Amino acid sequence: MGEEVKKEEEILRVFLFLILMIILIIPIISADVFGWMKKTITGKDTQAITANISVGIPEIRYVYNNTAAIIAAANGLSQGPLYSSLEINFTAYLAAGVLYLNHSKAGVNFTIPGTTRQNTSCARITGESTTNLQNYTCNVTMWWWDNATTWAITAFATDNSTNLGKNISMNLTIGSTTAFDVGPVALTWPGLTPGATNQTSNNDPMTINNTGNRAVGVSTLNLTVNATNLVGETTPAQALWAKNFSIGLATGGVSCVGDACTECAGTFPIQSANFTNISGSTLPTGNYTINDGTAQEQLYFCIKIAGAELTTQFYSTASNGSWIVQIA
Amino acid sequence: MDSANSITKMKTNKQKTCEKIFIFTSMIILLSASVLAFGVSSAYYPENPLYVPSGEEIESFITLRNQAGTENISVKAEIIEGSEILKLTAESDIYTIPAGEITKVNYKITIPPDAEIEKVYPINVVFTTVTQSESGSFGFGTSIGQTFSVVVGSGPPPPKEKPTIAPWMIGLGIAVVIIIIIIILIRRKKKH
Repeated sequence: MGEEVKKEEEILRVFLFLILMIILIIPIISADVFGWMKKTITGKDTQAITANISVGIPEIRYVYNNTAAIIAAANGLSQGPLYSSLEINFTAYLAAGVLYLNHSKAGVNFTIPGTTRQNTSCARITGESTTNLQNYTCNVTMWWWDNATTWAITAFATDNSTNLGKNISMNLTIGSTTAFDVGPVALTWPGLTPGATNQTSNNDPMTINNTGNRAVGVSTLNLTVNATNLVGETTPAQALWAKNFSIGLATGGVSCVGDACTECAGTFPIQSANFTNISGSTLPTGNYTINDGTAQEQLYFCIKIAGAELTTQFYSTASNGSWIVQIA
Repeated sequence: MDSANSITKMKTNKQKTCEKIFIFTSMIILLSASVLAFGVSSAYYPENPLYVPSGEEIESFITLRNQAGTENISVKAEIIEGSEILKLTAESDIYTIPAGEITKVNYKITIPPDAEIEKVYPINVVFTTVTQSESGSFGFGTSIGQTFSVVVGSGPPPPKEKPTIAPWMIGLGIAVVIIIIIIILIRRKKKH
């Protein structure tokens, strides 16, 4: 019995010794004591090797994110279909001399998660170099749908031995642009008879292109319409009432009848100072010039009923003002 | 009798044709611009508020864009929200944006001296195209709202740094726990 207790105590002592060893070894590893031992025994210091390599690699010493174009971009990019060309300059240093830089492989990336805009062949600024320093200038194309946020800048240069040096210390800010184009801005109907129902426009859809970098219908922005009555120009007491119009996101066609006129069961704008949200409409950001529905919305218009009391005259927005398509 | 009927029918059709209301026939001729394109840019937007310390006044601007347009646009500015601190500095609230150009809308923000730190003032300025709707036309204009927040203070609060724990500290912690467990076990054994 006494021997068994002794054995157990022996095992526990060994165990305790191991634990103490672990406690002692962890700080030693953390402090890179083995690196120090390796250096002492072999004479090779890993830190020194790193320093030696850096001597031969291009360094990007200065990145100038304060050009006029970059400052302007902080207040928003150009609206589509125009792109914005952002000029950025940087200085590369090579200890061996700028003669050994590969000038055709100097570039800049602007990145946010999921998106990169870049110029991989920046131009050497002739006359702006010393033995070891070379200035480069780049134009990076930003598109109108590029996000309003902070973008990371990576400037890089390569030497003739394909050694790459880069600088990731700088950012640039892109401001917001809420923009859209809309057309046609005047709608037509082939002709209406008093009491006619479900009459669809013959020059819609009204196409709305998102020409900015703010998405509509997903967060704070909505597509809305403010409607007015189309008042008779001869007899102002008569009107095509705004409440009798309907706006849809699909069409049954010009010659549709009854329920087939899908736009006639769309959103009914309220005639007032208030804007009515176009139900289901979205206008994401993107390249609308592809014209495949990207960053586009199409609105179709219907007169649900033309009053039976209406007489022959022009009915227009001349007196009550145009309808307004709003993104807000 | 048949001919009389057909005359009556013809008359009815004619009357119907006459009764047709030609509402929009002249509008395409009257309206020259078939597409309206304008935009509003700002350095500040809902995700990027403007910080202004209490008692201070700053000037900034919103940019109106007509870069893709072929005709000049007139735009009316209206402060929907935030007029207690934001003033447009131009004399008129109507701005003209030349075709292919931009126009700046300068504004001034004044924060009261007694405003609390981190107080948020919502700003909403709406820009609406000024369109002259012609006789016989069913015309459309466009409007864009620019919203952002003004926050009282000198800048966003610095992000809270997560406390970093070195790996050796984790190891030490585990070792201490193990030692305590062993001591407890030994004491139990001794008691038995």
